[in-house]
Amino acid sequence: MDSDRPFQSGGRYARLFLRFFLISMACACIPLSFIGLQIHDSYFNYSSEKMKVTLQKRMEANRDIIDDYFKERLNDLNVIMDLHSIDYLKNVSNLRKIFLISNQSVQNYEDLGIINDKGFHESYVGPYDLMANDYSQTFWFRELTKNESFISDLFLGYRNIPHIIIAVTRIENGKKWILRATVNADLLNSKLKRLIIGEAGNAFLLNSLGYYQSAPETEDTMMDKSPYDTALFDSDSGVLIIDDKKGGVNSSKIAAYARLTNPAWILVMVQDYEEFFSDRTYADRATWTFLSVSALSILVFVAASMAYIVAEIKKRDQKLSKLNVQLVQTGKMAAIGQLAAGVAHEINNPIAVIQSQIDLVRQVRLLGQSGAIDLDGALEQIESQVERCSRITAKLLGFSRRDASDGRLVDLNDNIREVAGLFERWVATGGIDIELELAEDLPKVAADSFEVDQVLINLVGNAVDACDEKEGGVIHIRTRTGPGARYIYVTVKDSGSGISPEHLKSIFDPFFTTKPVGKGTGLGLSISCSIMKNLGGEITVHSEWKKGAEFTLVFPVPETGSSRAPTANERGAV
Amino acid sequence: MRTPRVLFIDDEIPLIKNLSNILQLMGYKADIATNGEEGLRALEADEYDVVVLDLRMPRLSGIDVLKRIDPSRIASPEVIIMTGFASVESGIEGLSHGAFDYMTKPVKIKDLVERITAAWERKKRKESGHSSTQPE
Repeated sequence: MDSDRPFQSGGRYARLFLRFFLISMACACIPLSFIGLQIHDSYFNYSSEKMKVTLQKRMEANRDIIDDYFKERLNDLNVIMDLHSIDYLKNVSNLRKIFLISNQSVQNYEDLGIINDKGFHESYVGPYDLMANDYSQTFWFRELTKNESFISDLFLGYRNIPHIIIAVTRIENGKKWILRATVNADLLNSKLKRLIIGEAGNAFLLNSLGYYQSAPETEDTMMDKSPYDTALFDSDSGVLIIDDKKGGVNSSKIAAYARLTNPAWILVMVQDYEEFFSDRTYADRATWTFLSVSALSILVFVAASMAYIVAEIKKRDQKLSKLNVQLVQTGKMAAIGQLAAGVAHEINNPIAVIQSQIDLVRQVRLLGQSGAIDLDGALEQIESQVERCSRITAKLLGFSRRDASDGRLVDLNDNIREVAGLFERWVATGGIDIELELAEDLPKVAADSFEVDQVLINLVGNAVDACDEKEGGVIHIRTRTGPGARYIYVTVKDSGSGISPEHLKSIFDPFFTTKPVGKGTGLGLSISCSIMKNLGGEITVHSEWKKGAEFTLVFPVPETGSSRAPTANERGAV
Repeated sequence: MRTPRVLFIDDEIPLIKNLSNILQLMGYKADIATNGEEGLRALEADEYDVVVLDLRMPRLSGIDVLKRIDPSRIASPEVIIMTGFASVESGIEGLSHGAFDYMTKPVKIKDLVERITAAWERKKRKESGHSSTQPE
């Protein structure tokens, strides 16, 4: 038999490995991906919120610094007005002294001046010549007629340079006096620069109309209209995502803002979205890297374990294959046993006749009635019975001699005739007819003749049993060549009891039998099946319950051109 | 004292001819039937004490004949099964249908006569009605 056959196609195990591998990988990686997505999702959201809140808090703190700065400046001016009389302040040398003291540690003010109720400087300290200027029509002068103090937006004024003025008023001698200072815009800008985060970050101040009050880090300059709609900054402070579609490139930005109290400006910080969340992206990438490494290690582990399992299956298949060989051998012995029982019956009959003839002659002699018997007739009868015996033994010898024909070319018609001959008398007594319809010029097949007999004995034996149950019937054995002479079909058809549909699928299983205990081994068809498979052929069944069964054996015809049949070794025979 | 009346039913004609000849020489009444139907007809036509029956016969098998004879009835003859098919199962099947004994071919005439005598004894006891139906 063929123990290596399942392994001739190494692809079977490769496919098995691949299938196991893919299933296991799916089992491991699908949940892993879910976990990854979950981690990504929750971490992403959590960190986004956290970062936004942090940013907002920071913006509020910075806003407070700027707010305080302006508050301090207002306070400075109020203190100056409270401590000194207008007359004292009208004196330029006094005002210069105060200016120098105020700018002692930090250059807070660019200039300082006292303006009377007509809108003209009474005194001025600073780098510009402003003494002749009439301020009565300026927006801030008008504003100060209504309010006690004022902080302006950035404007150009007479000096034609962007600046911010802070002014406080005092009533003295029945007149309203203004102390006006110009705040150093550079100082404010340098404060804002410290807020900038990242390379593409940009922190700036906007007035309520959206004009820059500080120098933004872009191509825009101070006092330009910013591209940001101040209506977006509707709360005290907040964080927004802005889709900036400048130049066709979609680069999202994150904008944090906080509103100042006086002046009513908005502190805004804009940063590239990706840059702002780069830490988060980095952490996210680390998660995915970790998961990928996990997936990779699972892959290696799964590959190794599947290789082990497939190797184990292969080993078991080999073992099974060996067992199968033993099973076929067992079946062979059982078939021989069955045959021996049949032959014993065949031979017992002529022996019984001979024995009775001897007894008859002896009895006649005992009674001294020798004349009453035809001695020649008796001897003739003994002789004919002996001949009958030798015919049977010759038949049996012919049968057993073919055992040595393993690997030769077999004429299936010969085997069928021999097997039918063995069953002949047996079936005649049961009222069963065996009909042969054998094709002439049937190509020979490469097979072990004894194995072919084993299959045929099995099928014919089953057919006889099936017919016996119905008390008589016909067994029809037919051979024919398939299309292209590539296969030979042998059908064994009986008119017996048939196979019930629920049994039909199990009949080729080992140890499956419907015969009474002790009668069938349940191995016959299973062994026949493996014999046919090892020949490269097959066995099929078609049955109608109560109407009979038809078994078809398909034998491959060896390739023409090869003058000899493959040897036992070439077929992997044991 | 009369001798037993024996009927052989078997399709192996030379065998039963020889055996019946021997029994006739011994003073028995012995007849032959070459198949089941013929045997049943002979049993209807004539009265027999013992039937020697083969199991494998064309059309009507030995077991079928045995069922029709039904040796448990008082009027029925005792049946001895004589078969070439040496299997314990067939013997058990025969005995379960009421056969008196079971022999495998070839049979020695001495053994056959002993069994026929034993079967006949039982038949006689069965008829006189004061014995069990147990075989000896």
